[in-house]
Amino acid sequence: MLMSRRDCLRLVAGLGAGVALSPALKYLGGAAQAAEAAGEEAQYWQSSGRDAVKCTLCPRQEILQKGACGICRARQNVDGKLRTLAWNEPCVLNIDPVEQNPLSHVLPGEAFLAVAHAGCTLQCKYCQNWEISQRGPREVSNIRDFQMTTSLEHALKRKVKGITFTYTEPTTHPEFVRDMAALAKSRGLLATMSTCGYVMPLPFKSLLTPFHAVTITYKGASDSFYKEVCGGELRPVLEAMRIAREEKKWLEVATLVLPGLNDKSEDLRTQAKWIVANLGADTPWHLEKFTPMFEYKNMRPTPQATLERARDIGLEAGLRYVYLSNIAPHDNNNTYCPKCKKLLIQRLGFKVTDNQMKKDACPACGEKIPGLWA
Amino acid sequence: MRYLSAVALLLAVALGAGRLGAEEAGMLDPEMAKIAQSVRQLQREISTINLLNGLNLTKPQQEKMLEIGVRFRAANAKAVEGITAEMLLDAERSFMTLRAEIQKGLPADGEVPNAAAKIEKTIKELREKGQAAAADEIEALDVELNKLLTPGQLQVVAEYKACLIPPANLKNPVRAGQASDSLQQVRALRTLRDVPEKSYPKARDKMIDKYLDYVEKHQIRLTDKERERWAQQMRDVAERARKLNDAAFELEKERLAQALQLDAFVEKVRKEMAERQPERYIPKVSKAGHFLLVPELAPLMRERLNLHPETGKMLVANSESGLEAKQGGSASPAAAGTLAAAVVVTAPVAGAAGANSADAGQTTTGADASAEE
Repeated sequence: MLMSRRDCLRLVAGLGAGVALSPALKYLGGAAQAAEAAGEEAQYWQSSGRDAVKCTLCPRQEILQKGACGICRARQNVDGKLRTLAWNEPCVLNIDPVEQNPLSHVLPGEAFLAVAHAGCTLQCKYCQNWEISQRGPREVSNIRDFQMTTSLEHALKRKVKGITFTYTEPTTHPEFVRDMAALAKSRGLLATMSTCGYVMPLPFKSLLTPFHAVTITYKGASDSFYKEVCGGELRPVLEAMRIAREEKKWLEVATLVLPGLNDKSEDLRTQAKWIVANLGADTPWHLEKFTPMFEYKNMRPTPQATLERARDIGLEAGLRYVYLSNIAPHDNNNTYCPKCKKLLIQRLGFKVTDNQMKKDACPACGEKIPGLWA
Repeated sequence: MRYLSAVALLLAVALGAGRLGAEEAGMLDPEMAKIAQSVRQLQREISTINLLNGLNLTKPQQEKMLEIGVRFRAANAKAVEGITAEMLLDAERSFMTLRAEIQKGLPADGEVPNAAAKIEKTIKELREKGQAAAADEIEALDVELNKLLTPGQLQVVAEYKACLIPPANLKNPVRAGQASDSLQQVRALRTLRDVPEKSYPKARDKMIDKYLDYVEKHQIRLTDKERERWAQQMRDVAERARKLNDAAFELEKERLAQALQLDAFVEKVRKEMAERQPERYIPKVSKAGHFLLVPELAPLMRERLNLHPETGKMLVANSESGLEAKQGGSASPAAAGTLAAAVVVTAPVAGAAGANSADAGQTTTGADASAEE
C-alpha cells in the first residue's frame, strides 16, 4: 500500500503523541507536530534576498518577507523558506456528483470524492465559496484525522468513480493535490479538478500529470474584468486552458454570468469564439447562474433569459455543447446530440435522470460524443 | 363598511372558509380580520412565487400558465354561482332572529327556525352544485397543468414543500421552497458529535424530542409506538455519527442525515389520511395542481409576464413614470383574451369576500404556505 510523505509524518506524529511518556519519543512527536504546524516545504519558489522568498506558483510572482503569507493565504515564508499551509487536512471532504464540478462529459451521474483546502489565487468579488476560498487553511475549520489512504479507501467503499479538487483553488497547493490525485489514479479512480487557471505554465503542466479532466473557469472576456472583479489577469487563464488542451486532458469551460458585468452579448461572443478557435468546438461550455454572494450580495441573480441568450451566442459561435448550470430544472442542463438533436443525457440539476448514450455515441445517428464515458 | 364585512364573513362561513377565517370571525374585529387575511394571502403568494422561481418556466410555459390561472379563477367562481349577497343577508337575518329566540329559551320550532333551515339548505345546495361543477373543471385544468410541465419540473413540484423563506443551498440548485434537504440534520449531527460524553445522552434526547415535537406540531401526530421507533432510529444514527472520526463522518454525513428525515413517512401518512377523507366535492388534483391551481396564479403570472393587471397589455418602461401599458400591444393574443375574461369573472368574488377572495376557500385546491423552517 502506498503511503505519502504526509501520511508518514502523520503516523510519526501519532506515534509520538501515543507514547508521550517516553522523553526521547516525546521529543520526536513534538518535532513532528511543530513541522506540521509550519506546513510542508512548498515547491515553486526562489530565495529573494535576506530571508525573503519569491513565490513562482501564480502569475503574481509575489515577494514574501519572513512570516508573510501569499495573497492566496495558502503559502507562507517560514524562516526564509516557502511552506504550503494546505498540505494535509482539508476543509471539505464530500461525496458529490461529478456534474457539480461542472463536468458534463465525464462519467455522467457518478459520485466523486470532493476535496478542498482553503485559499485561492484570485479574489472574485462574487465568489460562491468565499467562506473557504477567501480564507487561509489556518483560518477555517479543517477535518481532523484526515489521511489520504484511509479517506480514499472509505470513498471506494462508497463506490465513487473519481476524485475531484473543487470548491476552492487546487493550484494554490499543488503538492498535496498532485500526490492525492496520483494516489487516487493508482486506485483506478479518475482524477479531475476545477480551477480558475490563474497559475504559471510550468507548475500547472506538472500538476496536470495525474489528471484526466479539468474544468477551468473563463470568468470574463476582458482583462479589465479580471482586474476589477477578480483581482487577476486574463492572459494566464487563457494560457492555462491552452495547456490543458495541449496536455490532452479532457477540458470543460465554465463562466459564471454576472448581470451587468460580464453578460454583454459581444463579450460572451468573444469568449465563445475564443473557445472555438483555441480549444475546439467540442469543448463543453457551462454558463452558470450567479447567486448574490460575498461582496456582490446586493446584486440580483442572473435572469434566466440572460443565460438562455448566452447559450444561443455560444451555439452561434460554433460550440456544440453549451450547458446552463445552477439553474434547474432546465432543458439546457441536458446533453443533446449536435447532429440529430436527440436527447442523450437528461439531468435535473446535478442529477442524471436518464442516459441514452450508447458507449460514446448517439444511439440514433451514431455521432461520436467527445468525453470520458467509461 | 359594516355591510361588506358582514357579507364577507358570512360568505366565508357559508363557503367553508379556512380555519384562520373562522377563528378571525370569532376573535378579531373585522378590520383586523381583513389585515390578517391579507397577511395570509401574501404568505400564499410568496409560497407560490418560491415554487414558480424553482421551475424556471419558459416564456411559452408562462403564457400557458397564465391562461390556466385565469381559467382556474373562472372555474373557481362557479363554486359560488347563484349565491347572492341578498341570500346571505337573508340568512344573516334568519339566524340572528333564531339566535335571539333560543337565547331567550323559546322552543326552536315554528316559522323562525324553518326560515333559517330553508335558507341554509338553499345555500348548501347551491354551494355543492357549484363545487361539483368547479371540481370537474379544476380536475381538467390539473391534467393540462401536468402536461405543460416537463418531467424535471414535475420532479421539483413533487419534492416541493410550501415555505416563505427557502434556505439557500448552492449544492442543490434544484431545490424550490422547502424541499427536503439534509443541511439541518447534518448540522444537528455535527453538534452532537461535539458534545462531551457526560452530557451527550441528555443533549441527544433533548434534540430528538424537540424535532419530534416539531413534527407533531406542524406535520403529523405520531402514535406512541411510532414516536419511540423514530426516537430509537435517531439515537442509533447519532451513535454511529459519534463513533466516526472527522474524515469518515464527512463522507457519511449525507447518508446519516437522510436516515433522520421523516419526510417520506409524513408524506405516506398524509396520503393515507387524504384517502380516508369523506367525499366533499374537493377536486382530486395532483401535487402540481395542489400548489399551482390557486387564485394567486393568474395575477402572479401577469406580473411575471409584465402585463397590466387589468388590460392585459404589455407594460413598457417609461423613464418618467415607471411602467406603463404599451399601446396596442399584448404579450400574446391568447393571454390577452383570457385576461379580459379574468377581470370580469373574478371581480365579484374578490369584492364579496372583501380583500381576499382566495381565503374564502371556495374549491381552491388548498395550497397553504406555512412558515415552516
